[in-house]
Amino acid sequence: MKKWIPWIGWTLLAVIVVAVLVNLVLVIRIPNDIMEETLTKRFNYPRNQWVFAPPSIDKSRTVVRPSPDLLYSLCCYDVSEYPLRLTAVIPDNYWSISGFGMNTDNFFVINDKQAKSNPIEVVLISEGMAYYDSTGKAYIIEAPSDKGIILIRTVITGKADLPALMQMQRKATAELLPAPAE
Amino acid sequence: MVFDLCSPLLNSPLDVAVRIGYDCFSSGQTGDGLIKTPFKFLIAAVVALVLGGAIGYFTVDPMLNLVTEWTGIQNGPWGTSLAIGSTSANPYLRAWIAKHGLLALDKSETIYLSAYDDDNGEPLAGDADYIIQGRPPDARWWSITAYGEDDFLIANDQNRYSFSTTDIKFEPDGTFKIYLSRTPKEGNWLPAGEAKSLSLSLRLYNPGPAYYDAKTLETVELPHIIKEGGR
Repeated sequence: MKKWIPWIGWTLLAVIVVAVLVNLVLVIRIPNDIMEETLTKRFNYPRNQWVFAPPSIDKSRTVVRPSPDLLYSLCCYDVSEYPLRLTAVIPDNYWSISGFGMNTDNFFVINDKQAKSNPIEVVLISEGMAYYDSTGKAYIIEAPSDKGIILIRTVITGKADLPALMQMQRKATAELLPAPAE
Repeated sequence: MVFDLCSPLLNSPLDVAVRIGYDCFSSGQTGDGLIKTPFKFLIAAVVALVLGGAIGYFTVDPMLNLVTEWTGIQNGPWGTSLAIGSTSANPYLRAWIAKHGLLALDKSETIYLSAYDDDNGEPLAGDADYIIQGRPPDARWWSITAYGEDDFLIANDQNRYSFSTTDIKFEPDGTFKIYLSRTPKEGNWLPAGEAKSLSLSLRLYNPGPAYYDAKTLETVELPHIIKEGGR
């Protein structure tokens, strides 16, 4: 029996090590897998274009726990080759534009009070990409991953205001810029 | 047959691994034990991979909930983490957020508080009546939204899913009351529809400084969730 004690001990230790490693690897993969699934299935929209969602209702099943008080504009970006220029008109009430990388981190957010111009201008570039903004108006943002999601949140100030807010929402633009000079 | 690490027979990583396994499990056996020990090692490796893999796989969700709870902040029935959306979130919190609150903003912009229980610690039930009451939170804009057990908005004839700074009716003393129930109520009625269990989200956009610090966030006044007839 004594011969089996170290055998059992080492096996239990190996089970624990494998369990911890498997658990950690799966957990680390979850955000990227969910973003990948979101970009390819739930938000399978053309890349680098705005999609203007109507107010969330009980039938809105794309993203969990949506806010019914916000208008969402969404752009699935891919800046692997070219910078992406985004513009949007900012209303008088709470508004924000934010970016989410493939690991789901919120890598930037600018709200209506912080924006240095209206319309706001954001140029999204990939890591290591160079871009020079001659106007000085644009926010140059380096995305932590080539792909991800840009989201605009606009507070719905009332049902009566909704048509005007939706009209303003649709003034947002997205365009790929020429490749930066080498 | 006797293996030796210098032997030309041990010329692959597998051979070396078997030898190491032998060293671990043989307890210095020699002779006949040498033939059996590699099989012990292989059995141990298979047990470790299968059992360890299964434990690692099936404990993903419990571990996410456990770590999120450990590292989170609780104030009455409301819970949150200041690392939501942040680049400093640990892998478990990041995974939990990806599953339960994808595209959440960093605390610099928004604090998200969730409640799954009432003030007495009892789970929010769809067939019970609740009053959510308190003073307006110190934030530029805030909202309270109800969700069903699937984390989506609850279907109801009124198409009412939340109350916010924009549309809530305040009491004469400046406080507010939201009635969360299946049956209609006067005032700020938040229909529970046919949901079996409920949860609430309190969103604070551009909140005051008390909400940024973990210690003050634990004690700052937040809305109470009181079960009617429960007190």
